[in-house]
Amino acid sequence: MKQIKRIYGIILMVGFLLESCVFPAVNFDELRGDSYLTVETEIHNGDGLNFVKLSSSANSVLRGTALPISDAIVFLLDKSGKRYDFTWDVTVPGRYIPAGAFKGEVGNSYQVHIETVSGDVYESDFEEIKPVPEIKQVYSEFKIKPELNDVDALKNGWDVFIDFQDLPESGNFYQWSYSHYEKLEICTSCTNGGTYDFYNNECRIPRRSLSSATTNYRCEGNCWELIKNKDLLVFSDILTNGQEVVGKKILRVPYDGSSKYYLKVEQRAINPSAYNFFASIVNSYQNAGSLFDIPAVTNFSVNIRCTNHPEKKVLGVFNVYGLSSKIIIIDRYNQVPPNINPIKTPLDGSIFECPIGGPAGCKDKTPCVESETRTSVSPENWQD
Amino acid sequence: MKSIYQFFFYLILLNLLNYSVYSQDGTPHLIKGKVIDGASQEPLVGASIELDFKEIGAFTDESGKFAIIVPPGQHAIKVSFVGYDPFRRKVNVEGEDVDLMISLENVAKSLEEVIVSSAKMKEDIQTPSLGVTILSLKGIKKLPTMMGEVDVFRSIQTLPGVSSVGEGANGLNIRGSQVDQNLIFIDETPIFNPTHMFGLFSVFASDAIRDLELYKGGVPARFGGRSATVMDIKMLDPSLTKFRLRGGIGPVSNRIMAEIPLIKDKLSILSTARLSYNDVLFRAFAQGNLSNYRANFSDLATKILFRPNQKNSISISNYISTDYYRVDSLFSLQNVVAKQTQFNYGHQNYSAHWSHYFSTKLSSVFALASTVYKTKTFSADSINAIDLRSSIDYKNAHLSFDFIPNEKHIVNFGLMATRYIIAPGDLNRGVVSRIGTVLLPKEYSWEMAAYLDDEFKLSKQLAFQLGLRYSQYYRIGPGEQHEYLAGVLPTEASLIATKEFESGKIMAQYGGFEPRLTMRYSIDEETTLKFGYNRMRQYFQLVSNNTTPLPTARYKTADYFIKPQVGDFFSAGFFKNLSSNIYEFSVETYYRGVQNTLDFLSGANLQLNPTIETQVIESKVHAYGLELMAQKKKGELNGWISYTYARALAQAIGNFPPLTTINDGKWYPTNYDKPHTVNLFVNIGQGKHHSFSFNFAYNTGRPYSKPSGFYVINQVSLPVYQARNNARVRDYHRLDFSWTINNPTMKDKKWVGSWVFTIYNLYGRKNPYSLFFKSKGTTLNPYELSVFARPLLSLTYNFNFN
Repeated sequence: MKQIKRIYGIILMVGFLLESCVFPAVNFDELRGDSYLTVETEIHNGDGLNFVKLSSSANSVLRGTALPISDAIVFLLDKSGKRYDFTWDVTVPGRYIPAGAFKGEVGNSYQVHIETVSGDVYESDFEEIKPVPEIKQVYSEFKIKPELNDVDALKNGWDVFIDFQDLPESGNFYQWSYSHYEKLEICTSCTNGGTYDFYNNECRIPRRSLSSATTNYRCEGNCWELIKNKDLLVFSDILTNGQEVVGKKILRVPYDGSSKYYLKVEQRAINPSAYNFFASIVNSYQNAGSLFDIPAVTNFSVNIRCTNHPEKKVLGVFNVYGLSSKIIIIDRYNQVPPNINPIKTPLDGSIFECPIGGPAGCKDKTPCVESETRTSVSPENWQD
Repeated sequence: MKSIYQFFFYLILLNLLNYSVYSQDGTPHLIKGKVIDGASQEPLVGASIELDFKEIGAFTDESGKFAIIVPPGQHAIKVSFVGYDPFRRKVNVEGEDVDLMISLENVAKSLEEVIVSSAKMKEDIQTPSLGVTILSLKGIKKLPTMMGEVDVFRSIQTLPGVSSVGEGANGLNIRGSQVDQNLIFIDETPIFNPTHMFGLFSVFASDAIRDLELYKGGVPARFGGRSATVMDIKMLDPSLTKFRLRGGIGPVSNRIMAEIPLIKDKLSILSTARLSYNDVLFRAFAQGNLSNYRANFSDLATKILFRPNQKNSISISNYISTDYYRVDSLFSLQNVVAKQTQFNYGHQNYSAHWSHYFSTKLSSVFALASTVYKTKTFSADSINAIDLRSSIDYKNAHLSFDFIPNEKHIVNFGLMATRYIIAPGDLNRGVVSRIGTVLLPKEYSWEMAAYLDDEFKLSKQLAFQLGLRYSQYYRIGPGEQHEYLAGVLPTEASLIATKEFESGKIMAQYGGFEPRLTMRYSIDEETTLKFGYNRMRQYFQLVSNNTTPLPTARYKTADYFIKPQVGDFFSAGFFKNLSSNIYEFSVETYYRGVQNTLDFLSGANLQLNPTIETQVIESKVHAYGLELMAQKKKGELNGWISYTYARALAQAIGNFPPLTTINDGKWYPTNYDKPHTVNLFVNIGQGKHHSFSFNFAYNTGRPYSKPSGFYVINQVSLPVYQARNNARVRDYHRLDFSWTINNPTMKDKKWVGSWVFTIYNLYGRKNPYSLFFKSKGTTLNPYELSVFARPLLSLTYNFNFN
């Protein structure tokens, strides 16, 4: 019977393209290519960070690295010609943030200027910050996915949806992004027998260490991990102009703990150039792996170009958008049927604690190092 | 798995034990006999006798006789003679001698185990036909199946020059053709979507198929409308004299077919049905969300044959296929919020033929054909209801004559008219929903053709098949034609006007001659050389940029912007029969060039696009290859081996380079370009009751686009592609096995059953269908998608009632 089930499993899954027969590729040979300037921007009217991020693309798949580009001159011009300088963000390599107070205005248009140390000058089209409708509601539904493996944290979880009213005029494009903040207990994990060097603030692994032991260190003060969406979510109102859009799925929240799940959902009104760029990634990359894939392509930027070397191609898009956001805190005791327990990932290794009566000055907590994915600043409306 | 293996182990063991039951006491007796040639009745001298699977050194004497002493009990005797089919029998020796008269059939004179034939018999290699392959249903059934489904498409992929993008692909690529360049006919009605379950099984109910003619080249002038090949599937004519019932029970579907004579020798009906029962299986075996899925398909075919007298015969046939699926939002339309999507699509084909025999020299066939292919994608969600429909409505009238003025000429000529009405997409017509209504205008067109073919034998050595077809195409109103700003890439932004055409007004027209020529030169009776040339025009194209088209993909007839395809095909072949047609060798080579094929801009939006011409790049495809094949067509062990070297390359420059170029306008491999292919098929017929067959397939991995690096956006690594189809997935190979047990009771009864046990992908190779990339942290990892990554076992019961 198990065999028959397996056979039908294959038919069903193959028939419905559930990526059930996906394996890591074997004997994959690297192909070396060119590196391109990659531009990622988030210019908006919201309270969050505006930034321009520059990197150079990796020139091979397995061994390459996308390197951040520093020391570039970056500024924005608005349609009145006013200049807004951006400066290098010390916490995130390659990221440039406004040098002074800057917040985009709905209805205003912006153009980005970039000059790299090699002398290449890049300029974008003017893109307007479009008005964005408010998110009407964000809500979650608990659902079990029995087809997933028992150890998969997404097997049990909450699907999160939003509703919103599309604006009356046609030609609106949306993007959703979310940020999940998780309060950390462990700030540092030293692997391979390493221990934390409190003087240099880094893990120190003994030379020729054969140990595979991991030592974990609690956080000194509050620290939050920031997890952002990996999948792109874009939408055009071409088929729903002026209608209320109901039940747009944004993400699935795993049942991997009992703490409240903090989620900040952003709704962005993006420009057609950004929509086309992101939609092409969704279609040719995100949805890849079925029998019906479309040709894999890389769409180079259509709204940023190199002015002094027009033949140089640019990756990314100058994304300028109107922003509204909503915070939802999912109580992970809600809607859960009896006998369903969270699937937790056990902590690997031990937690270092100063022995009672141990040496004076013994430290067992490490600092929360600010980065793109970590902050010691309490998120808005945080609930413990 | 283990239990199934155990079952077959015990089955084999029981079978062996059956042959080795000996009585341990009693008087020995003689098994004696005479061995003769079945045709001449002459004794065969020196035929070898085996007893109980052992060589015993016994041979027939000068009068063909032999005698051996055996203990009482059951014995297995085998008589073999070089050049003859062996004789096997179980003999019971109880109390007296056994006398046998054994008649052996000369292999050379026996009927062919015809599975496939490019030059079916000696006579056929003497016809001018080139690149024509005939598969009989009997032959197709010998090939190992996938999940017990006898499948025409899967079977013909064992032939040189026939392939697909991969397992589960929806359509075939024949000698470098795209899937829409093959004309697929079932009783002269076209099939637009040839598979069920998104490509897993082909649509034809195998029981009703008489044979399949595949024109890889040398397409007669009576066929037109596609730029590459023709697959002509003929349904059985129902028997006018005998009632017959046959069917089968398989793991995916059940089949039944009945032939019922209504008025003896005058009127008869054939009806066949195939019905999947996956719904039950989904409920029973699938877990979780999958249990809400539905996947059903069915085929129903009927043929009525009326022969009022010797000069007239009338047949009416129909073929109806349906597919229904309910899946989650994976396949939802873009920019539609839907939790579950349902699909419904199928063909409704009808045809009527009236054949009239004026004299022994002249006969005619008048045929009317209709095919309606409809698709529906829907979601019953009360708020976000979607109901997207499309259809192709094909109507055809065809009058043809066969005229044989003398021994040197066989002439076929005729006229045909075809009307197409394509409804490319109606979204939410009359449906109350928050999802808007989009109604794309219907496309109306006519295609007229006149043709003449003459099979002309100039001498015993030299023969021609000369054909000429003229086709004329009209795209007519009502309709709209867009006008774009001159000198810039047509886009929605450069659309400046829309011209309306009234009903019946000609919007665009194309036409031209389509010469067909095949030439045969016989070096001797067993050896021929052939040469062929075809030109074919195609006014009807598939609009799809998927690796393999979805059943709901859009079709488009030629118009002001989209030009008809024109294909030129050259081929040459060498054919040799050996040992009285036991062996056949062939070498064929070809070149095909097709103009005006469709490719698409990167990131093209094809869904419900009213300005589809803005997404299209006019491109070219050329293909060439060499096919070698050796067949052993007769005997206990028969089969074939073939090797194919084939290339299929595309070039897309478009009207506005570099915006409309792919790979900088250079020739690049198509998705189905697989240079090296080897097929091996072996069938071992051990007497009437058992047969075993093995099928081995190898081909170069198909092309995919390999990235040359990655870039990071939103902490996700995304591949950088600098060229299309610049690498290949790993090579493909697979071995299948099939064991057929015919009439297990071994008794002559009206009801004859048979069991077919098959293993598809015997050694469970994970053949990659595609290679794609997913971001993991800051790295990009390559993954392979494999369709049938493990062995698939199946057991099917078939029956025949005469």
